[in-house]
Amino acid sequence: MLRRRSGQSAILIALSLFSMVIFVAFVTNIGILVNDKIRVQSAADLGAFSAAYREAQVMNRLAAINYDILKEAERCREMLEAGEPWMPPSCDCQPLHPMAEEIISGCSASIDAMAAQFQSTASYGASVSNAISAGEYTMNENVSGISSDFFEGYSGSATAPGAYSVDGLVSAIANFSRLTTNFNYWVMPFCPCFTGCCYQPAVPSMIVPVPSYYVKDDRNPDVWVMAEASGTMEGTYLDIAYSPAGNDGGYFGSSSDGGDSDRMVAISVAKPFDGSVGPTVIYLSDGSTSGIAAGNYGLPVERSNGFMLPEAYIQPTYRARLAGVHEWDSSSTIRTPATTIAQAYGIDYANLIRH
Amino acid sequence: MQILLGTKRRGQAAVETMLLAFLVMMILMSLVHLFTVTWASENAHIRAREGVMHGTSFLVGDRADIAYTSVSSSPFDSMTENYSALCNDYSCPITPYRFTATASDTTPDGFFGSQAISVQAVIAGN
Repeated sequence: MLRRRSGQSAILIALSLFSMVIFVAFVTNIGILVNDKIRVQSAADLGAFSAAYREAQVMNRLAAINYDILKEAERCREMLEAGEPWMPPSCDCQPLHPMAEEIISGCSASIDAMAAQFQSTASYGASVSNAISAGEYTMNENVSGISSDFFEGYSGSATAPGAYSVDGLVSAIANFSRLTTNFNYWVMPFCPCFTGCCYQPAVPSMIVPVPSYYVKDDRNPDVWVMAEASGTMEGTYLDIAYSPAGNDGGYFGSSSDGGDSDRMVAISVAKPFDGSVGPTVIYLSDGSTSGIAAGNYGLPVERSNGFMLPEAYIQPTYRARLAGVHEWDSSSTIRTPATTIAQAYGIDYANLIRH
Repeated sequence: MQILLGTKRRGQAAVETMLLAFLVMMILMSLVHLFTVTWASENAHIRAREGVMHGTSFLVGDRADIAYTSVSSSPFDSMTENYSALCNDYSCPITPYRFTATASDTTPDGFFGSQAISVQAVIAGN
């Protein structure tokens, strides 16, 4: 009996040691999990912020170009409106005036050049794709210490290719359309009369519509960006889960099948805010003249103070901010973070996202 | 003899218990150390992340931890002279950017020594 009793403590110690090893492995794994989680979350946050920062740069640049367009249109109109009515040099009763037409033609060309710059800057490749690249670049910069087989970074946008356009032509970061500004000038033509050439008794006004600055269709263009960082456990992770397939233990307590259900996912959403590329069309429409900016049409000549209102809506003050995932465009049912990841990876993460 | 054996047996248990207690103590101390490492890592990551996003603007007051966070550059941070980096006029060029902040934290100096953790957070785009 005494001999039997002597083995009791050995068994107890063996059991205690075994449970302690399990306990140490468990605590170590929790430490690794917490550390990995904060790394992927930081990477996702900074990635989304970076993408939104790049989009803010793009939006500010668009606002700056739009401002230049507006100022050029204003300058040209003031030239046409200044001074006395135009008087054609020849006695042809022609209401058009070659010099005025030349001014309008020159202005139109310079405005068109700026509009082309606006289109190329707003194009999907130069704006959204560029922002997504910035997001992924930032994520990779922030997890350089983690092996590539652990970490994957993906940055996406609520703005799907082709969803928005400039003038319906160029796939872009948001919807923008170009308004027509009327270039007006007084004209006082000479016409043949009994004594030679006389001024036309009526002084007509010429109206030449010229496409000029851009307006937004929507008050808040949908320019969300999303960053998703994910990873699988590192090699230092202590495998304490039983896996018939012989795989490592999973992050989340269950035995791993080596698949994506064991991946850690962190998501962050950000957006540019606090600026304005241009006026929203609804604020400028007079309700009767579609596509013509209020204040920029009228007879016989509209003064250039019609430019004051749109100028007030051009604010190149976009900044980036992190947003909640719930702030993602709620009207879009197909471009949620989960479905965006699904489209990128072909994986349904809808039930796997943990915050 | 029986008394001697009994005495020896009791001593054996005491030695085993002491060894076990030592082991348990070591394990507990290592767990505490692991916890402090995790804690310091979280601190450093959060400081670096907030630092690179918000600059030194939030590092004010007695509990600012400014001694542990070094912000090289940050968007909109007037103290690092990057406030105007994005756009404050009507030129607004699209330029490459790289904002960085480094933060550190140190575990308490215990049985396993003190461990310093340094984290650099980056916001960059080409």
